[in-house]
Parts: sequence; C-alpha cells; structure tokens
Amino acid sequence: MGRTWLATCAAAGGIALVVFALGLPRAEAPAPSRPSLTNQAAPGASPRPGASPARHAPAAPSAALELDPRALHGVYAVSTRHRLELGEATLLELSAAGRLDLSVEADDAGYRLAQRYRFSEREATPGAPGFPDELSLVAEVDPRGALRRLGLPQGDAAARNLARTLWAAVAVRWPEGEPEWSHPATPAHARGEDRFALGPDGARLTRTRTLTSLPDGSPLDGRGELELRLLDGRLTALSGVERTRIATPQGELLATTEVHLTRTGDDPAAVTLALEWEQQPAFEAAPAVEVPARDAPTLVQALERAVRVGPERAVPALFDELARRLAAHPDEVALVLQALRDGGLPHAAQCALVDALGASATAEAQRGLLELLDEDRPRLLGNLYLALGDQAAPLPETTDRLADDALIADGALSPWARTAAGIQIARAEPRWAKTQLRTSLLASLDAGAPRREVLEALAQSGDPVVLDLLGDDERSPDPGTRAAAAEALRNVRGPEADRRLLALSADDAPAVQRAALDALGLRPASSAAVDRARSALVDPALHADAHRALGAWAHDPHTPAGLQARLLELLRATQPCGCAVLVPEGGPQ
Amino acid sequence: MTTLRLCALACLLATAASAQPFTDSKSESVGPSLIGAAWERVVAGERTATTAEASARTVVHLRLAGRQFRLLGIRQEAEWPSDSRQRIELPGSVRFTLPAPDLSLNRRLLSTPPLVVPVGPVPVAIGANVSGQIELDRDPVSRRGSASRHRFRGTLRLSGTAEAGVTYAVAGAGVEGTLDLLNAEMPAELTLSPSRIEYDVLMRRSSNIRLEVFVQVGVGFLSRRFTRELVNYALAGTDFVLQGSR
Repeated sequence: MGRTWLATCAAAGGIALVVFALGLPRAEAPAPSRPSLTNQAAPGASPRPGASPARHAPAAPSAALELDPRALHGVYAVSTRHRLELGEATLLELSAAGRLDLSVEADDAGYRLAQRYRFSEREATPGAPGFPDELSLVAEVDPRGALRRLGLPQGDAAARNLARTLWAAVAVRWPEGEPEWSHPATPAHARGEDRFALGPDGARLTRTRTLTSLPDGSPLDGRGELELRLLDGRLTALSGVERTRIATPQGELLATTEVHLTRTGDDPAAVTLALEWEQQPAFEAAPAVEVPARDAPTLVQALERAVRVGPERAVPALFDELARRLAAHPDEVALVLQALRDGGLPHAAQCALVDALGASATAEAQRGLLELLDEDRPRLLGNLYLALGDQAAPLPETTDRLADDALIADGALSPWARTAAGIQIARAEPRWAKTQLRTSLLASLDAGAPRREVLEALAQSGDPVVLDLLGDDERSPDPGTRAAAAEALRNVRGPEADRRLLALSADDAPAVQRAALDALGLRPASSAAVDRARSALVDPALHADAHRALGAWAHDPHTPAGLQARLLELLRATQPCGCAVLVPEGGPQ
Repeated sequence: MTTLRLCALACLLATAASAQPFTDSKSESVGPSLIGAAWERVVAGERTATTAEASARTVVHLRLAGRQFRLLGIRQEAEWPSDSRQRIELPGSVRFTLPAPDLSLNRRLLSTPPLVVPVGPVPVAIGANVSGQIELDRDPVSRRGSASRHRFRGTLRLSGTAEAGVTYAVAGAGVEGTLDLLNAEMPAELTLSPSRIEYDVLMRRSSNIRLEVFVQVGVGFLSRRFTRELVNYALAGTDFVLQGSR
C-alpha cells in the first residue's frame, strides 16, 4: 500500500519534470554533446505534421529553443505535500522530502530517464498510507517527448497504476516552436485544459491547468500552476501547486498538491533497477463496483447448480438476488412459476424460488403463490404459507385465503395457515386484514383447532387479546403449558404483560423460567427484570437464558447508559460460563 | 430396621421426584465489533420421576458497528416419551413450531440502516443485509429400552452483503469482499428417560468474513484508490461439541 503513494511524489516530481522539460519547443537539431539551452531565432521552424489542434495562435515573435533532455541530468532536493480537506476538516495529509537522482541517457529511440527517489522525511495522517522510503522508475521517451514506455518496480501493481495515472495527468505532445500553446488536460480522465507559456528569456516555462468536470460529468473547479526554471542549459528548479475543488453534500472537498524540486548537484548516483516495462502506459480506471444484473432464468440456473453441485453456501445470496430481481421485474414472476411447474428442480431450489417470490412482495408474486397453493405441492405448503404470511401489503385474496384455511380445525395445511395468519397479523399494514385474520384464528379455537397452535399464532402480533386467553394457561399444573403461556406473552406490551412475565420467571419449573427470561430479554430493561435475571445467573439451569437477557439489555440503545455499563461489567465478570458471545468487544454505541 | 428402610425409600423417592434441570452451552464469536457474528449452542433439560424433556438451541447474532442484532434462533425440542418439535425464531419476534418434520426456508433476516463509523480518516456509512437458509429435519422418535431417542438434523447458512460508502461523493467509493457469516450443520441427538438424559449435540461450522472499503479521491496528482481492510476472518470448518448425560 505504501508504494501506492509513491506516485504522488514519483510522478509529480519525476514525470512532470521530464514531460514538461521535454515539452519545451526546440528546433530540428541533432542532440548536442553536452546539455545546452539557447535562445535563437527560428527561421526554419515550421509546424510539424500532427501538431496539436488545440494549439492557440502563436504570439509573435516566436522563440525557438533547443533543449537536450540531458539538461535534466542531475541531483535534486525534492519535496511534495498533499492535502485533502472537507469543509474545515482535514481528511488526509501527506508530505515527504528527500533526494532525487535523475540520470538521462540518449539512445537511438530517444532518451532514457532513470529516477531514484530517497525520502528522508515522511509524514502522513494516522491511518493513511505513507510514502515509501525509496522508489526507482525509468521513463523512456521519444525525441519529441512522447512517453514510449515506463519501467516500474517488479510486481508493484499499485505503483504501476499510479504511475500511469500520473503520466496521463501530465503528458503533453511536442508543442512546436511557439511560446504559447494549449492541450486538453486529462488528469484521471477529468476534463480541462493545460496552457503553456514560455518566458521571454526562455529560462522559464509555466503551465496553467484548468479542470472543469469529472469523468462522470459532475462539475469540478481545478486550477494549478507549474513553473520550471532553467539556467545555463540545466533545469534549476520546478515548483507547482494544484488545487481542485468539488462540491459535495457535506461541503466543499479541496485537494491540494504541491511539488518542489531544486537542483543540488550535477552527478546523480547510478540507479540499479529491477523493473517491469509497460508499453503504451495508459490510465487504468478503478474497477466497477456494480455487480452486473442477472435475469431470473439465469439466477434460477445458478440456484439449481448451487443446490446440486455447490457451493450450497451460495443459496442465501442467490435467494436474495432473485428476490430483488423479481421485485424490480415483476414480469419475470411468470418465468419463475414456469421453472417450478416444469419440474426437475431439487426441493431446496424450489423452496428458495417460493421464498424469493414471497420476499419480492409484488402483487404478481402473491397471485403466483396463490396459484401454486391450489396445485398439489404438499412439500411446499410450508414455504407457500410462510411466504404469503410475510406480506406487508397483502392482497384481499391473500387475506381471504389465509383466513379460510386457518379456520380449518385439522389437516396438513391448517397449521401452516394459522402460523402464516399470525405472522401476517404482526406484519401486515391494513387493519382490515389484521381484524379478519384475528377473528378467524379465534374462531378456529371454537372449531377445535389446537389451543397452543392458535395462541402461538396470535402471540406473533402481541395482540392484547392474548392476555384474556392465557389466564388459565398460566395457572396450569402442566409446566409445558405455563412455558407456552410465557412464550405467548413475549410480544404483548404493557405493565400487565410485564407483571405476568415476571411472575412466570419465578415459577418453580426451570422450563417456564427460561421461557419467561427469554421473553423479558426481548423487552426494554426494567429494574425488576434485571434483578430477576441477575439472581438467575447463579442457577445452572437458567444461566444461559439469564445471560442472554442481560446481554440483550446491555446492547439495547434504550437502556440507560449507567445501567448499560453495569450490565457490561456483570457480563464480563461472568464470561467463563461459556456465554462470551453476548459480551461486546467495545462499549455500547 | 424396617423404619430405616422406609426412610431410605422415602429419600430415594424424594430425590427422584425433584426436578433435575441442567444447561450446557458453548459459544463463539468471529470478527471484530465493527462487523462480525456470534452464535451459541445451548442444551437445556429437566427430568422428574415421571417426565423428561430437553432442547438444543442455536442463537445467532450479528455485530455491526458495535451494535448487536439477534438474527435468528432454532430450537430442537424433545419430550419423553414420544414428542419432538422444532421451532424457528425469526427477526420481528416471529416464532413458530414447524407443523412438519422438515422445512427448507430462506429469509431476509436483517437490513440495517447505515451506521457511520470512521475508517481511518474517512467517515464511512456501513449497512448490512443478511439472508439465511434454514434447513431442518427430524427422524421419527425411536425407542432404546424405556428411553426415547430423538434425532434432529439442521443446516444453517447465513450470507450477506455489506454496503459501505463515504459520506461525501468524490470520484467513487464502495466495498469489496465476502460475507459468509456462518455455514453450519447442527445435528442433535437427545435420549430421554425419567432416570437419565443423554445429549450429543454438534455444530460443525465455517465462517468467512472479508471486507475492504475503498474510496477514490481527488483528481490530478491526488487521484488514487484509498483502500482499507475492515475485517478479514476465516474460520476453518471445525466441530463444536456438547456431549453429556444427566
């Protein structure tokens, strides 16, 4: 990771230096035997074929300069600083300073610029990746200044990508013998323009950058200036500052980059490099985040494959993806129904399809589920009813079907129907649906439906009617019935339900106490409930349930902070019992 | 002598008639508090002179940005001499007893609102969606002498997606990784009689959580991909055993 930020410096300093220096106008002349930079008239200067179409009209008189890239050969003090701010807050700040040895060699194809950065001072905000200690790279350019290839540290993909990015940010074409010209600026594919101007004495080159938009078209205000100073045929200094502003909902985001180079010597140390060479370096965009959408038939195939040959752990994710797909494309419900009717799908895949239809929560899916319910699919009854019961906005025909089936005293489908009716009373929005289903469930008691089953269904909603129904159950001599009563009270809110649950938590039978403690743990903490759970901690038969209830209160944001702290302390003190999972690693949020 | 024998018999009867409750549990937690999961397997039982019942329970929680969410619970219950039940607890306090011996159920278990946590210098909003597949099955109750044997099979798979985004729009942000919270088999065998309860309860599980958040910031020299690993946790498949007799 540290290598990634290399680029900030490596590219900012090295590549910019090379490119801009090479970007100077020059006359057609063989490379001199020594570095030289001379002002002279340009009688023979004429535009080259392929010169930039964005070039501005030249200002007279034009100057012709001869620059041998070997003028860059030398040792430099380099410093760079980067800052990212959002409003008043500094998000990221990096800086580094050190030495650059830049060696330039001419060959038949152009020039080879070997650069070695050694940073003696490095600073970064905590958590941010820092600069590397040392970095080497080689840029090979043709005689006109165009990058031919980059040599980068072997295997350093981050460095490679960043160097490409930075190269794209600063690359310019040979500008011909004119003192002012411009080119499109393409830093990170943002849109904008670079304008270049050569000072009258030929010893100073400036680049003014203006950026106007990001690749996606969103507006951007980017401005920067870079200046190179030349003396006696040598680069003596490079200095640049660039500021980019982007408006965000949270305020203005400001990115600032500064780069400074000052010549300190003429004899760079030899650079020993182990590099990989990149032909035609280009900016490589970040990979897309969006997962390509898959249609329902493709997802059904993937689901079948996961169930048959694995990995089976992919099933929940495929179920979720299918549900989202069907919610966005209700027209594909018919394709899923067809896949179920065609047969041949493994049972687990059929269940996942039915569940996905239910989770998609469209009217089309509900109608499809009702159709399937009328077909002979005994092994899918549970999934079909539970999917219908989970609908928050049931169709009238859905509610009618559940109410009718819940009334049937016995049979294979009626227990599922009662369970689904209970879930829908808890989930559904329309009051008429709740009323209809509750009436049906209560009527099923008179029709001989099992009492525990009906109570369990009604208990899903926290319907206060449960309080009236449970009186005898709470006093039953059978501990199982009393435990079921405690279960049925878990969703009923109010002081009366609290009082009864506390009474059941002190029952003689551990099964009843466990059920009551579990139900209490699902409600907001009360001092009486906390005291009861604390006292139950010492009972081996109740320890796990008491611990779970205390853990739930400790994590409940509605629990007062002081009580939360005491509960956490208590839970940590009782960790050796094997219930450590309920103790958070940090404090309450 | 006769009086002594009567006293001994009375003591024996009294001992046999009193409840013999017990619990045995194991728990495990994976990942840091930023995002992780925790689960417990609890065996509880009780016998008297004329009854015996036991249950094996699995409860799974998700931790996200320091908060804890109860995802689901599964209870495998046995009652001497011949009853077996399986119960499922889903989010929203929905609990039901399976009317059939087997069920393969897929559900969305959790969809959290974004929780803002600092990741390095960048405030990141993290949300999670968790889906689960629950497969439950049980055999008919069999006999072993006077004892009843109750066999349950269960599989639980929880996977999810985590969504993360910086709270300002720059050039791009997102999260990469896998969130296979839990892949577990949960067989349980409970052998009950009023004189003895034996249990052999397993949880064979694996878990794989790896998340990395990235932010693409700035343009020009500063344009770069800033990545930070949020969590990387891989749990090899191992057994999580509860065995004993009471």
